[in-house]
Amino acid sequence: MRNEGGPPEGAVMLSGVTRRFGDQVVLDGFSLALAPGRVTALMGPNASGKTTVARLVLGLDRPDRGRVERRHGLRCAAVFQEDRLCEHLGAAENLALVLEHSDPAAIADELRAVGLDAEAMAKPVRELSGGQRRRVAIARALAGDADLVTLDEPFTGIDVETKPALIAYVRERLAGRTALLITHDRSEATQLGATIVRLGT
Amino acid sequence: MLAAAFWIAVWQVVAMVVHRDFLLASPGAVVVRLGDLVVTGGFWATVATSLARIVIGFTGAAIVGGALATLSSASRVADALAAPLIATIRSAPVVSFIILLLLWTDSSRLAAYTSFLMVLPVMYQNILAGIRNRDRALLEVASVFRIPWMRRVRAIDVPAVLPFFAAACRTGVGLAWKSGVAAEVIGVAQGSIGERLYEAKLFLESADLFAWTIVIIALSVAGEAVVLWGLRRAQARFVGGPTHQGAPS
Repeated sequence: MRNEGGPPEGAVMLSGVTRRFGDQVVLDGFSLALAPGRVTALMGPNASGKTTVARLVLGLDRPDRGRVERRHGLRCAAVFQEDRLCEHLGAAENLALVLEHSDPAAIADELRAVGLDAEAMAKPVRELSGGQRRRVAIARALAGDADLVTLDEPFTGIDVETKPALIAYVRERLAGRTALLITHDRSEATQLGATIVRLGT
Repeated sequence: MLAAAFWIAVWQVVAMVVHRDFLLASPGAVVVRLGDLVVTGGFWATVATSLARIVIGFTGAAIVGGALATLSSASRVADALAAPLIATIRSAPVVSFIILLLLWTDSSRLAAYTSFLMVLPVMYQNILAGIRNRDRALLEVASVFRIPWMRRVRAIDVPAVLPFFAAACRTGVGLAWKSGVAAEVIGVAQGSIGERLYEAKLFLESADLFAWTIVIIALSVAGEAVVLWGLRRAQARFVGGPTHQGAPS
C-alpha cells in the first residue's frame, strides 16, 4: 500500500522526531504513523509532548531533528486545545469562515447535531458557555471535508449527560478520515474506535 | 462647561485690562467678527479650500501608512527600510518640511503634503502595532483550515487593527489641521484659512485671528467626530458591537 517516495494517501509519518524548547526536550526520537482513514489516539501524562505532536502533524511546528512527511495538498482541520473561535462572530459564521461552500441550512444542521439550539446560534460565541463554545470548535473541525483532523482533548468542558451524543457525532464524522485524537480518557479513544499510542513515561 | 465659562471670563477681563483690540480682542468682539464672517460667501469658499486639502493629506496618510505597515509586517527588509524613514519624518520639525516642500511645489499643494507627512508616521506606527497585535492562535487556525485571505482579513485582521486605527485617527485629525494650516500660513496659500490668519497678523486684526482659530478648532472637532462615527460603523459591522478590546491610548 505504500507509495513510492511518500507516506500513504491521507496519512502522516513522523520519523525519529526530536523537538526542544530551550533546554527542555519535549520529543526525543519520536516516531508515529497515522494510519490512513483511521483514528489514532495519543495518550500520555501532562507535558509529554502530545500537543507538540499535533502541531507537527498540522505543519504548525517543525522538528529540530527527524522527519515529518505529509501528503502534499492535504486538507486539514483541527480542534485545538483552546477553542480558538472568532469571538465576535456567531457559531454559524465561525463555521462559514472555514468552509469552502457555506450553505446556511447545512451549517445550522451541523450545529444542531453538536447540540446547539437556535438561541445559542443567534449569539456571538463570546456570549456562549464553555461547553457550547467547545461544541462550535468541534463542529468547525468536522463540518468540512478535511482529510486529516487533529482533536486535542476535544471533550473538555462537555457535561457527562450530553457527552455520549457528542462522541457519536464525532465518530460518525470521522469515518474514513485520518485523525489524531489527544486524550486522557481511554474510554473516549475506544468509543471512537482509535488505535492507542502511548507517549512518554 | 463651568471651567470654559471661567476661562472666557478671564479672557474678557484681560482684554478689558489690555484695552487694545489689535492686541487682544474681547470674546464679544470675536463672536461678532465670527458672525460677520459666516454670512459671507468667501468664508465658505475659504473653509472648503482648506478642508479639501487637509482631507486629501489625511486620507493619503491613512492609505499609504496602512500600505507601508502591511508591507513592514510581511517583510523584515521593508520593516528595516521603513523604520528610519518614519522615525525621521516623525521627529523632524514641521516647518523644515514646509520650507523644503515650498522649494519643490507651489503653495496650493503645500497643506495637503504637510498634513500627509505629519499624519503618516502616526498611521504607520499604529496600524503596524495593530497588525502585530493580531491573535496568533487565530492566525494558526486560518493557516490550518486554509481560510481564504479575504475572509481572514475581514474576520481576524480588521477587528484586531480597527482599535489601533481609531487611535491613529483621533490623533491624526488634529495633527492634520494644525500642520496643514501652519503650512498655509507659511506658504500664504491663496484662498485658504492660513492666508486669512496671515492677513490677520498683517493688518493687526486679533478678532480675525481668534475667529479663524475658532473655525479651525470647530472643523478639527467636527472632522474627528465624522471619522469616529465612520469607525464606529465599521466596528459594528466587523466586530458586531461597540466593545473595544486592547485599544491603545
